[in-house]
Amino acid sequence: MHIMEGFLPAEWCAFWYALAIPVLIYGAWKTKKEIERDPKAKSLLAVSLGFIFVLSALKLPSVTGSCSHPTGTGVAVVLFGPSVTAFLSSIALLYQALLLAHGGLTTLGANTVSMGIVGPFFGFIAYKALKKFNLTAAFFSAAAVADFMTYVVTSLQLALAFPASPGMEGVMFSAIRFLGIFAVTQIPLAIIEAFIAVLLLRSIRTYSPEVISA
Amino acid sequence: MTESLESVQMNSKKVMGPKARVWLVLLSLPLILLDTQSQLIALTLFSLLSLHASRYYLRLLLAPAVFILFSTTVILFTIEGKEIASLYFLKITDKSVEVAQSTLLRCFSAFSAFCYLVLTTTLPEFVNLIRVGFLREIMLLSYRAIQVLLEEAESLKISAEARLGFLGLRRWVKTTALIGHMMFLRSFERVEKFEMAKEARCYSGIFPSARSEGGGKILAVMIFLAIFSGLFI
Repeated sequence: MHIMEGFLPAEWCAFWYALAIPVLIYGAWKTKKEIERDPKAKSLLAVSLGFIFVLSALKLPSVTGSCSHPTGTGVAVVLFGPSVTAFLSSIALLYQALLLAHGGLTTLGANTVSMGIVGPFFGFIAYKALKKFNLTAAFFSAAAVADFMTYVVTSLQLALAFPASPGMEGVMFSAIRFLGIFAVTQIPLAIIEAFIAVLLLRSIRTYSPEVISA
Repeated sequence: MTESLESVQMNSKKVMGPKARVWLVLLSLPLILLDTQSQLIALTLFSLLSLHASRYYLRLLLAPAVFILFSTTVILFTIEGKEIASLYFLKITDKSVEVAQSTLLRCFSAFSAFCYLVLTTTLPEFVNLIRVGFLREIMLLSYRAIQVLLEEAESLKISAEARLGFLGLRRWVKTTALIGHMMFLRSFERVEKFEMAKEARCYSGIFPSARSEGGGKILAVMIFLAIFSGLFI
C-alpha cells in the first residue's frame, strides 16, 4: 500500500482521483451530517482518524513501488461504516504524505481507492455477513478482509500502470507478480492486524460500550 | 519522526509564503507527471530550493531513493519486449528499460517538489489554506488527536516493555491490542476535554490560526513558468 509520489503515470493518477472524489464527497457529507446530529462524534472521528494514521504509518518496505503495513481501517469501518471510513482514510493518507513523506499527493487518489474505499468496503461486507452469527469472527474478518483487499487493489493498480505486455494478459501477469511480492509481508500482517482489531474492538465493547454506541 | 520533521519544517529557510509554496507545488506536480523536460527543470529547481531550505533534504531523500531503485528494478525485469540482456530466468528488454528510465526520472522529479513542500510547510499552514470550515476543523482536531495518540503510545509502550509485555508472539499481540485500546480511550478523553475547553472559551466554529507572511509570489510564478516552458521545449 501507499504508492509513492510520482510512481504512477499521469493518466492513472487522474483515473484514480476521478474514482475517489465522488465517494469522498459523499463520505464528507455523511460525516458532516453525523457531526450535526451529535457534536460529540467529532472527538471520536478525530481519534479514529488518528488511529488509522498511527497504524498505517508502521510500514515495512516492499519492492514494488509500495510498502506493507497494517491499515487500521478495519476498526474504523466497524465503528463508522464504509463512506465515513473513506473520508477519514483520505485525510490520514494526506497527513502521512505531509508529515512522514509516506505516499504522495499525485498518488493520493490511488491510495485512497485501495486503502480507504475498496478495502474497507469489502471489510464491511464481511462484517455484516458474519455479525449475526459470531461477533468475534465478524471483527476478525472485517479487519483481515479490509487489509487484504487493500493489497489486492494496490497490486492491480500497479499492474494496470505497469503491465508486462499490452492487454489483459499482461496486466494479470504483472498483478500476480506484484501480489506474490506483497504476500510475503502482507498475509502475516493482515492476520496479526485482525487479531489486534478483535481484541481492541472486544475490549472497547466490554469496557467502553458508549464508544461503540456513539 | 513526526516531531523531527515538524521541527525541520519550523526551522527551514523559506523563500516564499505558505500559500505560494503550496500552490506552486500543487500546480507543478501535474506538469511533472506529463513531460520529461518539465521533469528535468523541476528536479533541478526544487532540489536547489529544498537544499537551500534545509540540509535534511538529503536525509529525507535517502529512503525513497533506495525504494525507487528497488521498484524500478522490478519493472526492469517485468515488462516484455525485445531482449537486450538476461540473468538466469530474468530478462531485461528494450521496453522495460524505457519504462524504468521514465519512472525513475518522474519519481525523483515529483519527489523533489513534494520534499520542498514537506520540508517547508507545517500541517497547520497547509490546513489553513482550506476554505471549507467543517473540513478544516476536523483536520485540525485530528492533527491534535495524532499528537496525543503518539504521546500516549510512547508512554504505554515503555510501560509495557518494562513489564516484559512484548516477550513472545502471543504476548506481543495481546499487549499491542491492550495498548491500542488504552491509546484509543485516553486520546478520546483528551480530545473530548480539548473540545470542552474550546466550548468554554466561546469557540465560534472557526479555528484560530497564526497569520503567516505572504510574499514570494513572483518567484513562485517564475518557477512555475520555467517548469511549464518544459512542455514546449
